[in-house]
Amino acid sequence: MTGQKFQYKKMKFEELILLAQNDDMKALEELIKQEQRNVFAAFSYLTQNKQDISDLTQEALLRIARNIKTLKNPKNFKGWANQIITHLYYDEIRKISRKPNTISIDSETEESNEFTIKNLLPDKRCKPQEKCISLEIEEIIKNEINNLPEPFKIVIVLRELQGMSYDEIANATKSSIGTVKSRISRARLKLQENLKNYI
Amino acid sequence: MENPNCQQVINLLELYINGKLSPILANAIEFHLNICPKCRKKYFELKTEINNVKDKPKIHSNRVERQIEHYIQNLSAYIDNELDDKDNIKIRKLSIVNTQARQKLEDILYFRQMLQNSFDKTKNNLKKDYSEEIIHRILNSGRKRINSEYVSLVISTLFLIFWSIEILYLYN
Repeated sequence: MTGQKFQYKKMKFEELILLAQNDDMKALEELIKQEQRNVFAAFSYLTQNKQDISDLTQEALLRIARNIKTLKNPKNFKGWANQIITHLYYDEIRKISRKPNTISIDSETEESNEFTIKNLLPDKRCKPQEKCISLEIEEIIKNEINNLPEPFKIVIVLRELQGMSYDEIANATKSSIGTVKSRISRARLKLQENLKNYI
Repeated sequence: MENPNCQQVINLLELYINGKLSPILANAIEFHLNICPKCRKKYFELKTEINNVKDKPKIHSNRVERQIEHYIQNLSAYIDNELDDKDNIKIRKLSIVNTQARQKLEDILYFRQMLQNSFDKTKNNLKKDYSEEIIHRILNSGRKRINSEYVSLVISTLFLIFWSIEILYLYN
């Protein structure tokens, strides 16, 4: 059993996709294991509520797993998965706009925004050292991206986090390449401006 | 003033940011900012505000300024390798000859690296493993589907048997 798991871990991502498309559940499980960090990170920059991040991550992974057979070319997995993320994100915005404004008494946002001692200490798990940024800066960046107006937030996440091309982003967001180009540029300028004291 | 309190620090922040305090006082403020997150937050907010006032856009009239404007508009697409050859060359050329442009390029590349590091850190912050749960849900929904298909098959078979018996009964 351990040997089998080890083999799946060593496989190329595209091989995992092909096996998963042929009903290999172990391959599908490994594929989700490898993809879940990406999906979780994307939603962490798109929404602030921890429960929403978890729910959306789970739903996106479930859709990826359920629809893996519909992916024609394994090389297009990234773009395809990001379309799922984008659609879910748009659905979430629509849901929020219909809901009345409520404040959760369990909300943790206030605590996470505080400059606590834990947030100020450098993260010992983080290696190599030059890539290490403090939890404080990570939180600030997350908040700044989360506070961007809607059309800018999704494009910056798809470009910077997911590494999608302008063409793929235009497809996912149903807009033109020119619009994508201008939105990414404006989002970067805005973020650079807001974060210049930390750069 | 050896250990200024928060109120005193906040009152002196503007002078501190503009470098108008004596070195001893500036050191005391700096020490306080290092240990007090609330004052440090105020300090960053005020610094951003002061920088915004200082950096208000001026009217771009001459050719170099227009070039820089075009440069800034296209810099983002340039670092993403999404420009056509003509604009690519323009950006590359200005990055070489103009220090202001080069600085902007270095800034945006550094900024992108900072975002990348932040994203990498967030990815590693995932505590939960969703894979087993997802597979479990998929297998369960598959079973339910098979079960419902099986039930409908049994019902239709029973219906067929009843129907045949009824036909036989009628003919007899």
